[in-house]
Amino acid sequence: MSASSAATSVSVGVNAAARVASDIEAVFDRCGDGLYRYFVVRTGGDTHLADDLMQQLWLQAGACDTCVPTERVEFWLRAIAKNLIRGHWRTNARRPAHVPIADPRLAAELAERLVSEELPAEALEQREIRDQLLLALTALPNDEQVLLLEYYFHEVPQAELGRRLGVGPRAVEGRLYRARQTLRQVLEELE
Amino acid sequence: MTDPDVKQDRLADLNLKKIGRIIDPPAETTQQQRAAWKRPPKSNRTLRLDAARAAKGVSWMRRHRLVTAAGSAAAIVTIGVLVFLSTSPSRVEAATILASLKQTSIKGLSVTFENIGDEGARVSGRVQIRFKQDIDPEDLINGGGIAPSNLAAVYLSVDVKTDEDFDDLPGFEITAEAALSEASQWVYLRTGDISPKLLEEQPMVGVLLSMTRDGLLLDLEGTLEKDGLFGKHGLDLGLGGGPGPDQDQREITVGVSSKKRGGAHRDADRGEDDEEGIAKKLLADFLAGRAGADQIQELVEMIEDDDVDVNVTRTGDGLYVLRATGFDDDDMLENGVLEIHYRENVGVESLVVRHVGRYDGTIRLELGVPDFDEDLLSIERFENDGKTRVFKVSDFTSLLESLMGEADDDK
Repeated sequence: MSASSAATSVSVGVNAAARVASDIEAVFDRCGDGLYRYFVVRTGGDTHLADDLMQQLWLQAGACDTCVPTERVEFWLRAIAKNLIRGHWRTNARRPAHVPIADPRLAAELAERLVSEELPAEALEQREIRDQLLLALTALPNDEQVLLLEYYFHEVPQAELGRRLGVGPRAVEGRLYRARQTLRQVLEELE
Repeated sequence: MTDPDVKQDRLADLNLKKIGRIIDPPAETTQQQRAAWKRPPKSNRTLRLDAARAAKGVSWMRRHRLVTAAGSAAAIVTIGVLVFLSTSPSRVEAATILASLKQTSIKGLSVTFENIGDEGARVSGRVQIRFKQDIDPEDLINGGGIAPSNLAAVYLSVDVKTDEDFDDLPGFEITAEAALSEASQWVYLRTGDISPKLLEEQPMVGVLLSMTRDGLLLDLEGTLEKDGLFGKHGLDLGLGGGPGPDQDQREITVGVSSKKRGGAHRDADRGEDDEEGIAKKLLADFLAGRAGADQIQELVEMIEDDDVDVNVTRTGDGLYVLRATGFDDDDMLENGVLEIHYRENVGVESLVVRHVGRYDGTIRLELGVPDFDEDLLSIERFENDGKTRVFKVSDFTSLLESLMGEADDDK
């Protein structure tokens, strides 16, 4: 790479970054962990590749001239992320066997079982079921994803969650309820 | 909320608690990592070496062949490491790293590659190797080779695809797998759909390939020990170089090997192979912890000639990521990004080359015992699928021997 071409590429990167509107950057910062998890799960745990895709996501967000309403930015970033991961596997000859693939039938069945029976431990040991859960969980909007992860996976008490969110215990319960509903919905529509 | 809703939600809550205890969520990120998403990797120091490469007239590592490109990549990676080490004023002490690398012993390795190719053909796959006894890293790159008796298990999986406009085999696709361990010795081949163009242009090839359309399994059990397959043909998993001179001594070379062992001085007129030979020698010296000031200078000159950008970023937990870009003079690596992950007190964890060739391929080398899937190594998954043709090679060789014996008797 010549000095001039290097300078050009750096300049392109800087320009793209500079063009990222502050509200997009704020959402990217807030949802970054969730988007990263989205990539990690869909690359079969390849954290290096996930980092690469996050950089591409940032550059694409900066390169886009479309004016996105603030309340739609997260959805818009998730759409870019979805296209990036699709594009990645489309250009790759073979998706490694360990990379989770959405199984709409199984996911829908799981959404139903989640609220109709106590799932046996052996069912949760099945890779296919774990994959659907992780795919759905990481496809959730950031706030709900974080709430479910903190409460169910990191076992953060509701009182502490309330303190972090600046809301009372009833509000935390309500948000957890909605997050569970959303998770079911995402499972039902997983693709 | 109605009563059924409450009941359903309670079950969902109960199940999610159970799920949370069983399933691990993806790892958390670090602040440095998040910052790196929004900018090109920034270095504690950025090395920018611009030199008048053209004036020197050196055509270093200008190759189209896949294996050579990979070999070149490995060499450049190592050069990058060395420059990183030699120019670092940071917390990572070069001497400590060199010493740790010298002491590193390798229990196994994995190489994965995706979409590596050029001019209409691409290869994806992986190679996993587990050694019985730890080996010296120098053996991986030095022509000395590794005794096949030290291989505990090898698994290879390769997909080859060609484009419709590929001259020799248009629209061709083949999957090859092989496992070599005490319990499993087999090679599996399966071709994909054969394009009408291929059938039209090369009908005989098409007919031959159709034999493997549902899978062909070569069961090698009983042949390796008997015929010394490794010894006869060698198993060169090298990233570059031709067959070693010592194949009859049952040696396997993994990594960059070369018959040429040039001195550590440069001469632009000696041609590409000598340049590669020098790079490989330096690579071996580096991994063995023998690289001295002269060799470092040699490598810096090579980097100057190759006009490569090298950045080093610390991403947390003692992890350093070296990124090298700007391999404009190598067609395969024109847009390539080399990444080396080095962890303090551990050593080099992985080498990754991204954006390789026309198909935006990736090569990843990881040192350590690969996570072998025993089911994957088992021959049974082919024997029981009801489609694959099984060909027991030892039966064939026995038949051949008996036929030849009869022929001799007739004389």
